[in-house]
Order: sequence, then C-alpha cells, then structure tokens
Amino acid sequence: MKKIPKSRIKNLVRELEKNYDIIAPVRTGERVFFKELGPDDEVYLKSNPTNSPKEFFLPYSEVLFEFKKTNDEFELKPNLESRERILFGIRPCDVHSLLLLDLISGGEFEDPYYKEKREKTTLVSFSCLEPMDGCFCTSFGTGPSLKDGADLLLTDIGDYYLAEPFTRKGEKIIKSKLFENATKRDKKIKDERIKKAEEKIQKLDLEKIPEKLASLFDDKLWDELSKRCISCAICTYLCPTCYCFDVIDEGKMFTVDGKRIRCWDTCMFPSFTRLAGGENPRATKKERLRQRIYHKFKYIPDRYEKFGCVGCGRCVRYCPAGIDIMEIISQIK
Amino acid sequence: MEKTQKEIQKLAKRLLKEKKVDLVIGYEKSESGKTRPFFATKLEDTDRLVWDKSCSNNLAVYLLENKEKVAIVAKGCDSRSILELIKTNQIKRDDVFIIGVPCNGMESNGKLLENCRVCRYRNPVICDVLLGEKVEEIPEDNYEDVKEIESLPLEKRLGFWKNEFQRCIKCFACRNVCPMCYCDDCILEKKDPQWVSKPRKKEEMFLFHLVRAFHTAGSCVDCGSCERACPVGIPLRLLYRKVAKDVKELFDYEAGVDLKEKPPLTKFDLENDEKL
Amino acid sequence: MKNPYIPRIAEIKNIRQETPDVKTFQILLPKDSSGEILEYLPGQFLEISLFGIGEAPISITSSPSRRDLEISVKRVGRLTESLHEAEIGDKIGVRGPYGNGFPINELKERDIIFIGGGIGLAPLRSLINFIFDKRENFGKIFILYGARTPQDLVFRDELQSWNEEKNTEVHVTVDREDEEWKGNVGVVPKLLEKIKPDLKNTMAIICGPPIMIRFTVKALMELGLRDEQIVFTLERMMKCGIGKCGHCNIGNKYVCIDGPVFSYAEMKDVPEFKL
Repeated sequence: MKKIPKSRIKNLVRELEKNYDIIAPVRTGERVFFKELGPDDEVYLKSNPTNSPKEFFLPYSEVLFEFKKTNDEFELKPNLESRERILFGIRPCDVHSLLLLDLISGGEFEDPYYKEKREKTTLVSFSCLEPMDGCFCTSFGTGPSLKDGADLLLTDIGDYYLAEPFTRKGEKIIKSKLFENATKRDKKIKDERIKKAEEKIQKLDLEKIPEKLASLFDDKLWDELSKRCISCAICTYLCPTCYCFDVIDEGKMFTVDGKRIRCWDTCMFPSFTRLAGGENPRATKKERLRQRIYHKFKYIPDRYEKFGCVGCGRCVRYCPAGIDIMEIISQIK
Repeated sequence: MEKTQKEIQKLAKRLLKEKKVDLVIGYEKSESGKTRPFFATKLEDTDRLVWDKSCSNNLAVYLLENKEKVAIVAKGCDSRSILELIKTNQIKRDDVFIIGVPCNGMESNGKLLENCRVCRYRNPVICDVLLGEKVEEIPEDNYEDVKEIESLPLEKRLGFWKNEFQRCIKCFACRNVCPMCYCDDCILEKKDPQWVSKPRKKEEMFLFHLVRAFHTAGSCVDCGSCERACPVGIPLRLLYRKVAKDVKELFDYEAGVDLKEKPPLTKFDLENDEKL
Repeated sequence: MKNPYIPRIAEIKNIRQETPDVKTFQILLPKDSSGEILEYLPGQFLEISLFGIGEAPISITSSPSRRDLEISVKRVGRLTESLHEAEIGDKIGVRGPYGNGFPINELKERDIIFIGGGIGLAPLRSLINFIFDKRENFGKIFILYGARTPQDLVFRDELQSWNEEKNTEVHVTVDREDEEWKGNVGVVPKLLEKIKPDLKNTMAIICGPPIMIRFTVKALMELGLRDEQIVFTLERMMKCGIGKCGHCNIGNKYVCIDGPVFSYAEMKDVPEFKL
C-alpha cells in the first residue's frame, strides 16, 4: 500500500505517458469528457465525465473487417490492432460497468474486438467522495469505492491519494518513485471518508425488483411515464452498460472493396425492432421505455445475476425530459 | 409566480372538469426538485402543475403526438412554436387550448438562460387565456453572439465548428425536442437515399448539423431547447440564430409571430424577389 | 480465438425460382479446417453476406441428411432484393449455423403436425425431409400449409411427393383462390379441422407470419394440446446472430441463441410475447 501527493498526479501522468496512451477526464468548457490525452490536456478529477468509458472498448463505430475482391475471390481482413493504454480516472461505477460488459461480450461467441481492447487497458480508478446528481452506486454495490475490478485504486485522503493495487499491472505503476509508503492511519482515513461518502448517497433495496417487474408489465404506469420521453438516444448512448449495435456495410455493390462496420444503436429509436416488411413489435414510446427498464432491471439480472445498471446517474443528469430511472424503480417498490 | 401557478391549476381543473380538453400539458416538479413536462388527465393531477423560473422546456413538441382536445401552458417562445405549427398545418387552432403565461425569463442554477436574455417575445403571441400581467419587451434584437462569430475569418469559423461538431454523438435529442422537426421521414435518418450514414464520420457531422440548420430556417423560435438537450454542449443556438438573422435580413421574416404571414421559403414573388 | 464476425466465402451453385418473389439458392461452401462443409440442425439459420450491401439471417431449408445446402429467400428488403439479382457463380459470405434448431428428440415416436404459412415452409422443409430420411423413428405426419394465393405456394412439387409418403397427410390452402385452384380456400389454422392426430402423443411445429402463429397456437390449445406440445419459430429483427447486438432480445432471451425455435411453454411467461 502506497500513497502519492496530490501535487504529483501531473507528474505521474507524464511518466505513464511514456509507455502508454492515456485516456482520462478532461475539462472542455463547462463539461468533462473522457478522451485520449493530448499534449495540452490536463486531467480533471472532480466530476464523472459525461461520456462513459465504454466507448474505448465498444467504440461508437468500429471496422469489423475490410473486404476486397480480386479475381473473383474475396479477401477479408479483420481490424484488431489496439495500443497499450491506461484508463486514468475511471470511477468505481464505471469499473463495474466494464465487469458487466465482460460477461455480455463473452459466452459462447466471444467478442474478440472488445476482448483485445480490454486486455490492452490498465484501469486506474479513483474512489468517489462526492456523489453527483442522479448517483445511485450504493444501491447496486458498485461504489463509491472498490474491492477489486480495477488494476489500481486511488482514494483522496487529504493531501495524498492512497494507492491500492489489485493486480500486477497496478503494482507495476506504484513502483514509481513518485509514490511513498502509506501507513495504517492512511488506510483508516480512507475507510472513514468512504463511509462518509456512502452516507451521502440514497440507497434503495433492489432485491425484489425483478419479481415486482414481472407482475407490472401491463400496468398503465408505463403509459404515464413514457409520455415525456422524446425517443432520443441520450440515455442509451451515455449509459456505460448499454451495448447494442448495428452492423452496416460500406462499399460498392457486389464488387471491389469496402468495410463492414458496427456502430452504436439504441432500443429507444423506433427503427430498432422494425422488420423488413414494416412490422414493429415496439412501435410506441411506451413499449420502448418499458423495454429499457425491463432489460436493465429484469432481463439482464435473469441472465447474468447482475443488474444492467451501475447507478452512475448519467441518464438522470442528461435526459431532456427529466425521466429518472431510479425514481421509476423506487415507485415500483 | 405562485399566484400564476394557482391560476394554472384552477384553469386546468376547470377545463378537464368541463371536458373541454382531455389533457393538460404543463410542468411539474419531481421529488428530487427537477422541473419537467407533465401530462394531467385527471382532476387530481392538476395539483401537481407548477409554474416557476425553471419551466424552460418547450412543451409545444408534445402537441405533435397529442393533437386534439389538449390544453397547453405556453410561454412566449412556446406560443410562437405553436403558432408555427398551426401555420404549417401540423395542428388545428381549434384543437388546442393555449394557456398563455407572460415570462420574464427562465433560469438555470440561478442564472438567466441565454435565449431568455435576448428574447423579444416574452408575452405569448397567441393564446386563449392570458394568466398574469403582461411584461415589458426588449425593444431590439441582440445578435451580438452571431456578429462575433461572423467577424471571424473563414478558417477560424470552420475550425470552430469542426471542433464543436466532432463531439456530436447523433443522439437526435436536438431534433426530437424541437417542435418544428415534425417530419415523419427525417432526411437525416433516411436509408434510401442516404445523406448521413450511421457511423460518426467527420464530414458527415458537418452535414448533419447544417442540414438541420437549413431545414429549420424560418421556423426556429430560439426557445433554446436543442442546446439545453445536447449532452455534449454543442452551441446549437449560435448556428440557428445565424440562420434566423439571415432569414430576417433577406426576407424580413420572423418565425411564429404572424399567423397570416407565409413562410418565406414557401412563396415566390417574381417582382419583389428579383432583387435577391 | 475465433472471430465470430468473419464470414466464410461461399459460392452460389444453383438458383431455383419458387414463386415470383421467392428463390431457393444452393450454396457451395469449401471444407473448413476439420474437413466439414457445414454441420447443422434443421431449424438453424445462416447469416448471409453480400459484401457492400450487408448481412441478413436466413433459415436453412435443406436437410442435413442430404447433400446440398439450400436457403430459400423471399424478396422483402435491400439485401434480399440484391440477393435475388445474384447469379450462379457469385460469391457470398456465410456465418453460422446459428440458433437452436428444432427439438428432434421430442418428436421421436410421436405424431407430428407441421403448420406452415407462406415462406414459413422453408425452415419446416429442412425438418420434414430430415424426418422422412429417418421415417421409422416417427409417427403419423400431417403437413398443413397455406399461402395468400396459389402463386405464393412454395415447394409445390415436394408437397405432392410428401403426400405420397407412407402414413402422411398433406393439406394445402390459399387465402385467395384463382381460376385454376381446386383445393381448399381459407386460413391455415382451419386445416386443423381436417385431421385427426393422436392428441396425447402429438407435437405441433408452426412456422409462418406472427399472426398465423398466434391463431394456430390458440386453435391447438382449443384442441387440447399442452403448452409443451406446441413449438414455433419466432420472428424478430436479428442482426449479429450471436447474441451480442441486442436487436432480437425478447424477455430474458435472445432469439438468435435461445431460439428461433421456442415452445409455447417457454414463451408464455415472457411478458413481451403476446398471443
């Protein structure tokens, strides 16, 4: 267990930049975004960025393979080349989102594109001491701190960050001379601060939710809730655990060359379930909003024994119509 | 404003009771204190209606799905949107009961919203009932923000917008929250022919936003909903205000003000338009 | 690690026009690393790629007990339109086989009622021919099939030859007759009135438009069949075929990996599935 003075975080980042690409929260005007650190960028750790880290593992659009036709034969070249990088400043809720995405992208047909990026990424997580509007990590057990899941966990204990490695990758980082030895007292301060942080966050008991949802499918509460929805993609695109995608080909008809690309898709758009013949099992906003709630709070738990939500609060903060997924859940209780 | 809130609740109750409308679209406050659109259908619902300085959503967008026997709380900008919707035959005047409320501007975090600071129509331009005292209007247009960017050289302007648009995630919130985007088959989503493809290509991000800016030319009322909805903070108002300024200068036309005035791009006057 | 998104390159060996908008394609796949062409079960589907246009899931209509690999395609969208313009010798991409296939073990020693509508006969044909190739393992067979018009009936020659098989009855109907039609007129579920299966020992397999499936399931339940005896294929938007893209999610299932074949017993507790 080590610690690093807050003033040295900048130096740590510069040091790590020598061997890794760094993805970290950066402030742009009034907003904070995760992005690949450029030469003039400074790491900003005071709020959870608008975008989720998922875009660095499941990019907005990604080339699955390129195809080329030569002499009547097709050649397919998959696109699997990422560089070693560090996701610096990822919060515990988002770390848990990656743990869920690991399950979803695994299984019988493992997703090699996700897996490769995941293997090449080191997670340096920071505990959360100040919840943001809409944060609900304690209800899901996804925060405000971590016991594992990341490679290294840093927690603000005053003038220092306490550094706890969970893996070899994490241990490698704290070998740097920028770190000092930590004491039992430092750990105590961390535990106290985490406890204080937990008390600031509202906690809901979610155990019976999948059961309750099973009986509420035809309830008219979905009509009322969905009236405000404008069917945009903000909740799904900002959500760290939403993973649905569309696959499209780009190229010329039948001949020459092109690419097969997958890009983000959302169950909130009407076209998501529309069949070629025109029929649509989720033609109304009510059906789509209901699907989103059920997917996250019943169907995913049925399959993976984890909720499909990590309580990061992004959908609550950014929904233009003020739809609050946790308000809905507490109403259902 | 509390007085107006009570009047809104009273009026909504009466309209529902007398079956003049089946639905009242207004605002409510969530338990966490967030103001958001509210749809009152029962008499008890009306007690939830609120009116204060956080009622910034443009509710007119919900008229596109609720076209008949509906009452709607409308500020100045909202009423202009409603007028445009009537003008373009999206809703019928007789099907909507407009509860007009004069507005001195909405706030966010205690600060006056930008579009409210320059708003020329604080009093509703069309309504069935006006609740509250009329307020003073700003006498002149204020296009300082547009003029500032207009004064930049082309390269800088291009760089500015490229930088802003690259953050766009095509969530379509700007389009979906806008009352004037009522096309069933939006050109930005069409597959045949396809103008903007699904992946986020740099060139296409430009096209996306420029198409929307041109398509809303002459109908944007600067309610600010698009910019507030944008999760990545693109300064959309700046773009649409530039187009609105141009429309005013070229055609002497402003959206949502005069029901009898035809939108400039729908008419052609051979004699007078020749100067263009 | 195998990349499940990369198709194998196959060649169109033969094309047969079944109806004005349905074609059957015979596909030639090169042997893979284990020397196999393609091992599959009746009821599974392939993801067919036309590079530059896209990919679509299409049921396999041939039986694995026979030599040729065949798919039958109805022209409904961009990809199928382009596929209809393809010629013998053209190269296409093939991924799969995906899906769970029909529950063959539950059909053994039992009477089977096949109920198909329109292009829905295509995946059923895979199972029907598979069963005829092992006829002694199964009981009496009823094939009830219908389409909108006589022109839309697929596999007419095989319907004839199936009817001539031992212990087999084939009944065909159309919604709208033409001048030459001499057979039944009416919806497919009505054909149930013409048959007398051993209800306690019967399995019903339905494949067709959602509305036909709904009416047929109801009719079968009225006849007294239990939920486990009724099996159908579910049609939802599918994209990746491997349970990753989320499009075919219904309840806690993915149609592409948990289906597309489901029993009514499995589906009736899924809230989004409505009869």
